[in-house]
Amino acid sequence: MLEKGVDRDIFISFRIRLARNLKNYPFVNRAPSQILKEIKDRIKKAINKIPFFNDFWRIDPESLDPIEKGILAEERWISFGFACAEHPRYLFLSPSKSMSIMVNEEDHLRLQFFTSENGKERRKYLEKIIEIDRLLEKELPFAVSMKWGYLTACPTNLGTGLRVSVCLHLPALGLTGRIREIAKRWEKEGWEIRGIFGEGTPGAGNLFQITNRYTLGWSEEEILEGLEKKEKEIKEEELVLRAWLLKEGRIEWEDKFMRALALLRFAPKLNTYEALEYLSILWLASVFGIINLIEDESMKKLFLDIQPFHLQRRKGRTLTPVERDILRAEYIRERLFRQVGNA
Amino acid sequence: MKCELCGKREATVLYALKKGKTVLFHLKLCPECARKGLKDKVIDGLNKFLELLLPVKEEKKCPDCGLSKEEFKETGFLGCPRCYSTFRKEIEGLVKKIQFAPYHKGRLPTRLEKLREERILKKLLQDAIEEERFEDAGELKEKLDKLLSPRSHVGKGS
Repeated sequence: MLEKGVDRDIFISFRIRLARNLKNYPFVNRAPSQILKEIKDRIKKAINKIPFFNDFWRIDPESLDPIEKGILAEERWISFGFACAEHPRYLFLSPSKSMSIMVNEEDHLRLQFFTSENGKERRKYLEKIIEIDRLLEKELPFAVSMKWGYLTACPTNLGTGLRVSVCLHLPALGLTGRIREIAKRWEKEGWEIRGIFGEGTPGAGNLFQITNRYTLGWSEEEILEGLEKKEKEIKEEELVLRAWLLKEGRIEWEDKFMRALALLRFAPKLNTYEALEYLSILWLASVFGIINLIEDESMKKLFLDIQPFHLQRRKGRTLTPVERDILRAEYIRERLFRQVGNA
Repeated sequence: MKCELCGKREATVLYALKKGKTVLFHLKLCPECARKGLKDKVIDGLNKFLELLLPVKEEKKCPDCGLSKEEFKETGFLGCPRCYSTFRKEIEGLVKKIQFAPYHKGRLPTRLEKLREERILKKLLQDAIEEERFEDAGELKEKLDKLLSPRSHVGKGS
């Protein structure tokens, strides 16, 4: 039997986003720069009229240096595609950094809520984002049809334009490879399990995003309720496997744990992927009560701090991949084993 | 077989006159006429003439943004809202594979939600009348009147 609190590392973050496009304009992928600028100005003007957005930060991504853009992407306020693009675009960011509006991402508007708090009711976030959509709708004519719902550049977002996702730390499912079987089964049920770095990426650090594949034919409430059901289901599978790891799978688990510990302690360089993988194992060990090097919240922060742009910000300059890997290994040693000393 | 240009020498070369990937015409030539034809651009001219004579069917394109069916299939992206009616058939086919259902179930802008409700109520009312369920019809009529009354603009003003 597992003890209480053995699931405390699972929930990482929750995200909800809506895609919207303006009527009478080409979608972003087909609009020339001049039109994109017109769209950007039109949306800015509309948002400036709505008091709700008064205290939002207004950011032209062009005014940011590459490291700042990378930081925003690693922290999930913007997508990497949006950070790297070169066409006219814009960003509104709430001061609490819980909400962002990307203008001219894949769609003209991408509204998103993001939180790493687990307590709050998800429904509240859905209601809030719909309320904001209603405010925008009074100022901006959205492209919509009775049959298809909200029209989007890619038919995968058509209908509600709603994508909800939860990011979970699932080391037992990741390490045993069982996550792949679940992903395959869930695909048919309309749910996708993907790595944190987006579509098609493996689950770095055993962090997985669960998200709805369908946006058309399911209502907003059905999508959210479905996600919550799936989240519960996968959490239970993870806990069953954790118990298995401690009993039947003990030698496999100890082998993985000791290797991870040794590499984090002694390897002179670590790339993002391996660092996340070993940290994930160490985190599970601390949840199991085997080792206690770092608090849960600090571990979550460490997952972010060792990513490429966060490391570069720390150093204050662009780093080569090898320099980053060396700095990453040093930084992890500093954070995890400082108290241990060199004994 | 004799050359189709000079009619004298034996034809040993086969020229395909094409528009895009479509072969419009085959020309059987002798090596001499083929060489001469290419050099004097006779064959080029013939090709252009044939293209005028036999126009290949134009590819379907969106009248608003100019996106072609091929481009849509290649990228998976549409060019503008109008594309959804231009490529309705293609999108219906695609959506059946990638989405839960080929129709929207969820929120719409306020004005369209009202329209959607009106359509549903009208349909229900018609059914009730046809089936002589007059009590239901009365209730539905009342709901419909309420919806259509000028004061019922949901979300208008505050």
